[in-house]
Amino acid sequence: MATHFEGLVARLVSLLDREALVYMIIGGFALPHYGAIRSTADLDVAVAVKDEETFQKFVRKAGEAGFEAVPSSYANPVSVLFERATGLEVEVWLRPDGISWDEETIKRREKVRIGTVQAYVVSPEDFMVTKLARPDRGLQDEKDVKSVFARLGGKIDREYLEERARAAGVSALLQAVERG
Amino acid sequence: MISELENNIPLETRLLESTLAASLGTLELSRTLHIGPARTIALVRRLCDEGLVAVSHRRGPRAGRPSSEVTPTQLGLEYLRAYRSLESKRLRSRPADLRKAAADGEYARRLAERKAPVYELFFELSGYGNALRGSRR
Repeated sequence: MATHFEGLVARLVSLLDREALVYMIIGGFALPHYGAIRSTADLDVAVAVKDEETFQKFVRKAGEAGFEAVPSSYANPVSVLFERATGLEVEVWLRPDGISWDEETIKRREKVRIGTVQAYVVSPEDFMVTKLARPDRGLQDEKDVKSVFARLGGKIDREYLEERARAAGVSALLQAVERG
Repeated sequence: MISELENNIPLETRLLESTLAASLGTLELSRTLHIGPARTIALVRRLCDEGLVAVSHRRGPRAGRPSSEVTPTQLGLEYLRAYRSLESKRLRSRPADLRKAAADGEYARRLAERKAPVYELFFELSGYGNALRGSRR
């Protein structure tokens, strides 16, 4: 039987695909692919939206697909959608901390089967950088990064990770988490 | 009840943070910071002398002493920015937290290597967590 969360990700990915938006799942839903398996309360997704018009169209289409948006605009780096049927929340990140929407970031996304759908998930290196670059970074974010180091080990692209960490100003923090 | 996290933040910073959203009077600050009025007044005076906050007085419609309003100055805002920037450099986790996280990551790797359905486990765990949060509410 599909869980509420499984249904949520399926409906969201279906909406993003219909609207042909470039996106990647970040946060707790991305973690089981390359880190620890832990519970989460919401779904975080980064969506590449280039202007207010596209953003408002997305919000309108989300409304038609069963989501309700907290009033927001393209100027906000993050907006919240509630799924009416389940009350679950989706955080839509237009400008995720520490991540730039460039070709490399998009190319490195990984297509992963999450429940009943194939969805794009942020690369493990960008996942680690965005976790550490959050201004409200907490204990769980650091633990998530550490679990990716432990699970992937030598499979991590060190050069890319260090380059992105340097750009986001989190190189020393990344080293401290890895050593800790 | 003051949280452990708040307890680790210097009182000066907490006062400045409190005045960011709205200018507050001494009594409101005393409640927000969980300290007595006398201590709040002394703190506000000191921060005022250091140029971090400004105190203005407003006379209300009723008789009595005018109420005071504490607001951060430009220097106070710069102090807060510098504090946040420094604070962001500090690790939140203890070595034991990171060791546990590494063990969880290694366990997930073993599960994946054995072709265990990691996303099914994740959905199950998140479902339990959500139900628990719902029952607490």
